[in-house]
Amino acid sequence: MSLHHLVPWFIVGFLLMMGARSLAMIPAAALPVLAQTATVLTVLSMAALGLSTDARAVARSGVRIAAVVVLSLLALLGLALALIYLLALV
Amino acid sequence: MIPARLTGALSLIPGLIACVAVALAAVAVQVLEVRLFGRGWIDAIVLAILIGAAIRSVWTPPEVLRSGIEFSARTLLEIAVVLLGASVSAATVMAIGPGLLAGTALVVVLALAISYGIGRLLRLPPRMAVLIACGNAICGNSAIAAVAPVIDAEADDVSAAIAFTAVLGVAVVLLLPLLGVALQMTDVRYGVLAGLTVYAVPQVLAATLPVGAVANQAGTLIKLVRVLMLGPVCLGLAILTAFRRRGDEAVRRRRGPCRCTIWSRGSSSASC
Repeated sequence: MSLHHLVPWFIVGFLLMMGARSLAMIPAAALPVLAQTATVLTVLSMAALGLSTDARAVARSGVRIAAVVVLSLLALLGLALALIYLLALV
Repeated sequence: MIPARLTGALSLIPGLIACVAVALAAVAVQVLEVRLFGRGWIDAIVLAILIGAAIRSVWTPPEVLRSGIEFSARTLLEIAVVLLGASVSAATVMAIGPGLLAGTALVVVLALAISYGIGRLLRLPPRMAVLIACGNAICGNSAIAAVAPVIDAEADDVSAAIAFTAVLGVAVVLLLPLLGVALQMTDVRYGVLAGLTVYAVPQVLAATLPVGAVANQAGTLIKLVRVLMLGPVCLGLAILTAFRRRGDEAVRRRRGPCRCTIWSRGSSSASC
């Protein structure tokens, strides 16, 4: 298990950018440009995601697996909501 | 003679163009929404997924488009995440606080246990249940792919786990904003909710951008904490597997091909 497999490159990149921002190393004028670019790239990649989603093949493969995933998601949702309200976040 | 790098880059263009086309359609619909209803009820990000999926359900994109689409789905989104790091302010990090960070780790552990329990309850094989639990609780395909060799999972199981969790993860991105509105959540709360439940880091982006920058930053930070749990979890599973694997040499031979098949079959995009 190398570090490369455990921590994807873009997460390292994200952390570096976060650090740069905190150290005021990014010019103020650049910030909205970066944000806009991120949005554009996101829309593009969501288009790609849609084009790659073969919903029917997945539906064919197994009701049981789907059930486990859905129930797990619901459980996760429940845990998340519980945490948020327990900590009484702002 | 054209260098391999260039032909590789050129092969991305057809797929990229397809994505641009769908993206433009999504933006067009959003503009139309604002004209007709005064507000963009469904964001371009969501529209892009819906339009893309609708097209996919009636028409399989030809092979020539594939590499461009995969590139857009994965690499472009990863770049977007990196750019996002620049917008995380100190105020957001303060708003998160140590309680929430510890709470997130706890949620991951509990979600792992519960998800595994559900899987075994519905009679899935143990390794499959572990794969799904990791994909859901931690971070998507990377978790599944990283954990698979650790627990000697089979290639078919890995592909199925990835496929299912990915498709349902898209459903979460589409439906979560509705939940946020229904529960009348503040931006920070919604961001945290997204960070805790969404399947992959880039999908947190998609789920929170329509809501706002604060939600976006909060969600991404929380998601990062989940992702960072991958290390400890892998370690724990490796230890558990070591006890199980005594004398099971046949499985070890499968581990090599297992890794290759994951990436050749995996059509889903955002990895972690």
